[in-house]
Amino acid sequence: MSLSRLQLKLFVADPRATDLSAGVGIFQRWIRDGVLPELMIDVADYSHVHHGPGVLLIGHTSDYGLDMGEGRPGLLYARKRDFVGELAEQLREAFGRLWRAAALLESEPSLQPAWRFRNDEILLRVPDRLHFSNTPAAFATLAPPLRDFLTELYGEPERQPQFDLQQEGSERDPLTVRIRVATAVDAVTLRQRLGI
Amino acid sequence: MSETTWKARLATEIPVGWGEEIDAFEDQISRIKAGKLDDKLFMEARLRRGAYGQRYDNGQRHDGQQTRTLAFPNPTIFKGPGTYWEAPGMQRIKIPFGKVSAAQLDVLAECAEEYSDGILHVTTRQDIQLHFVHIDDTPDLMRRLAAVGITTREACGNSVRNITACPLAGVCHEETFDVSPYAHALTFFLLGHPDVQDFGRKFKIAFSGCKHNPCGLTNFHDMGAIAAVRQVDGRVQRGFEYYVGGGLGSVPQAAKLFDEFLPEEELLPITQAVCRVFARLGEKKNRARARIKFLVKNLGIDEFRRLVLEERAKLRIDPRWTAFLADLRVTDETPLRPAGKTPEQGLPEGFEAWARSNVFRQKQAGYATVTVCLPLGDLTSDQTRALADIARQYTGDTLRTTVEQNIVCRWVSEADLPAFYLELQRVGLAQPGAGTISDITSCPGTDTCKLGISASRGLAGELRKRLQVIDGGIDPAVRQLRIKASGCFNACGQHHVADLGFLGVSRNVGGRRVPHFQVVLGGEWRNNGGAFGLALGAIPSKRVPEAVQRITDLYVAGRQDDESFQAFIQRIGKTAIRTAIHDLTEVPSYEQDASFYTDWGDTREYTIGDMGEGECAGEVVPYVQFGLQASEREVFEAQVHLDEGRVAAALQRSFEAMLTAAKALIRHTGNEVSEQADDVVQQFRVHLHDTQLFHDPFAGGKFAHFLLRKAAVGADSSAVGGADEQQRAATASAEAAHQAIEEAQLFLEAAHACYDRMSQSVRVAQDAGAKK
Repeated sequence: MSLSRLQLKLFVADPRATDLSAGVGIFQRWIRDGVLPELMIDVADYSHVHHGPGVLLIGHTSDYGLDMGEGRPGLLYARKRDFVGELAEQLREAFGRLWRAAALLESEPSLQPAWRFRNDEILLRVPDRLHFSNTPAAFATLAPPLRDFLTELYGEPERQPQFDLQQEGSERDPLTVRIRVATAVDAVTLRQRLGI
Repeated sequence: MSETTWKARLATEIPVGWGEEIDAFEDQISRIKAGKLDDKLFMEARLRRGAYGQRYDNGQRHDGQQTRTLAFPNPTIFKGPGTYWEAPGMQRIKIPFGKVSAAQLDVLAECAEEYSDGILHVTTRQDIQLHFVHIDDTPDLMRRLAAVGITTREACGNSVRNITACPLAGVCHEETFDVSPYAHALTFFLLGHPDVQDFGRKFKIAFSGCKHNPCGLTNFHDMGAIAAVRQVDGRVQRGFEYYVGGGLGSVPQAAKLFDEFLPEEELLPITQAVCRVFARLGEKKNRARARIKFLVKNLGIDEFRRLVLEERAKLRIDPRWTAFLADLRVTDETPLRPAGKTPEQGLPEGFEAWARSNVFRQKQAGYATVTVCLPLGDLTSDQTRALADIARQYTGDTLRTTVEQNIVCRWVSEADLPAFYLELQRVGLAQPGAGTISDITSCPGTDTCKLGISASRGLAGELRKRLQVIDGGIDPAVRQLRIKASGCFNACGQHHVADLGFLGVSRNVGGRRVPHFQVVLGGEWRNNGGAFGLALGAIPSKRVPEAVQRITDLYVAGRQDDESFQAFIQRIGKTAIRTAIHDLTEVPSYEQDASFYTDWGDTREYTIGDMGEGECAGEVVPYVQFGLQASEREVFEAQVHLDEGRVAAALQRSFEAMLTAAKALIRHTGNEVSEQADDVVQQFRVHLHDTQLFHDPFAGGKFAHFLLRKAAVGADSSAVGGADEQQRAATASAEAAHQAIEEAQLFLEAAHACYDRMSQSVRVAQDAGAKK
């Protein structure tokens, strides 16, 4: 199984951190300095839109966003093309890129208060209604390999990771899964495991 | 997980003709990727499907310090001259006269999520645009829209664009009659019509239900129709005040009155005749002077009218001209819920302020039209779905986009208004201030447009923020003013007709570029965009909010009685205004304040280096080239049929290929031809064979006879005979099909040569005329 598109969102730990005004400057600098190892093209500011994409960094294969969806600030990683490999490989790559961007933002001085991302909740969406509708059947197809990946990512030698996968939304939405991790692993370890 | 394609999944839901067009476009995508299609031809083809370019698609982007190359993959494939294939683009989606259903909103939301950035953008022409769309995704995007009755055909390019109309058509107290069914009829009559394929530039049409309100803006359209009635023999006859030759752009022109009263049955044929005259006589080389406004100006309206009426007299009767009059209720809306009264007690907080600006009481008692104010014309996919659900619950399919970049919901029972407001509020769509000074219209500007000079959207966003903060403190006279911003002189933000218009320009200050906006005053929004303002000077972008404050303060302090803003400007004179804001033209040095050297919403140092070649005035590709290209595809399909053993289909397709090429050439001679094979053959004989235009210099009429002979014996004829009839019949048929394909290919080559000779003759005649 493989995906053509995937979105992952990390949530900011401090709900007061909703000021997106620095986002445009941060992303313009990422383009200028080639901070990410992929082609980034432009910055789109949608901070005027209610619970919208906030500030988007538009790339060729992926977008990154200081996202305000659901009214909750966070970092969105949206893979939209040239997504190769089997699902496990794809998840590893996507999670890796997400957490790399998260690390950059966490060390970004112009974001005040500082953005720290929760490592116990991730929103996953598959915006590909042709192949994945937002139904229990589609979720049942995606869940096992997703669990396998999460087990590997969050597992510790002495215990099985505990996480919960919940399909959310209506059939009109893209396939949406909320991942809650009871046995969260610290961000540094996560990044090491993702090879960042 | 299902294994399928959108084409297969939606096969039974897409109208047949539309599906074929999208397949043909997808085929063009394959062909250009295989190096078998000219990129200029593809560019015009994709523009005619609404697939537009965006800033940086030439692979160059200034990062605030220097221009850098964007290393798009596959750098040898282009979707237009200098336009990289892999660069994101914009998809424009036509919403004829703004009417959009809940089901359509759902699909638009899906497409925004899957192919774009999750945002739908309403334009100043009632379209919806999606940005950052990859060209490879566009066929499926088009299919999904087609399945719910939306076409992107001719959304861009040198053809008839989206037809706009008052968003209150049908519910307005002041309209003469509902123009919706007329806008609907004209939309689908002109869509893909042969007579609108050979323009030198775009053509924009607007309808208005009345003369004095601004909703239709017919005064600055290529063609405008204002509803009118007259009494004839005791009966009320419907018609239109019919205007032509208006336009904005760098030099706006008011439309000229073509007919004080054009009867409704003449709306379609006269418009067809106008289009034919424009196609025939309109400028095609100099793109800057190719809009119809220049043709009307050069000829004068009287001569233009004469030519149109002459053309009208020659037109073959088309039953569609009047068929639609039998059912003018096709666009009618039925309220979902009973009429009512808004309760006076227990209203939610904020409701009254919202209702004052956003609720319009319809002519139908007990019903209201609610304006959903969209900040900068944007809404998310989630908001779009929520709005669709709200419509399903309260109004049914009564939604319309507006040229002020909002959406209106008609037929809301007044009793439901408080609940409706709360539903909108829940999803962030209950912003008050519709139609006020904080409801600012802007084109995309430097955000995404290749022609943008300054950040019109950034400016609009900043003004909006500031004006919303002081909303309660704004003088009522100022509150009802309109602000519009365009990123450049092409005026897509319609700044010419605003009370306060802003037009993006650039200035050199101390060797550095600084973004500015020309302040344009004196425009009139009412009376269908009744008058155009003039620029009185350029202000640095970062001082525009101050300029707005100063000018509006002057107005409040100096207006007499209930003097309009336009009258005030006229009375005190632009010199006085200019003097009042003169100090705001000063730009501090870079060392004093570097913020002046960036634009609103962009932290990069300002440059005009990111401007590119616009596609609005795209390459003029004669329609005949599209026809010949389609013919080539059909010949190829005939080969595929033959390869796969479908002999009859191969024979038929090869015949159709010749018909397609013949049709293209016939139209190129300026003659009409229908889609009927008999008519095509007859017209070909008369205009191309008997005139020897199609004759090959060496082979004479040989290739023309391939078509004429095939038509005489029938497309699927084949020689049959011999002892083993079935076997020999099959072999003979395959042979006949093979021969038919060869003849079609030779015919097509002859068609290309004919077109070349015709083009040469035109060039020789032009050169001879120039020498004289």
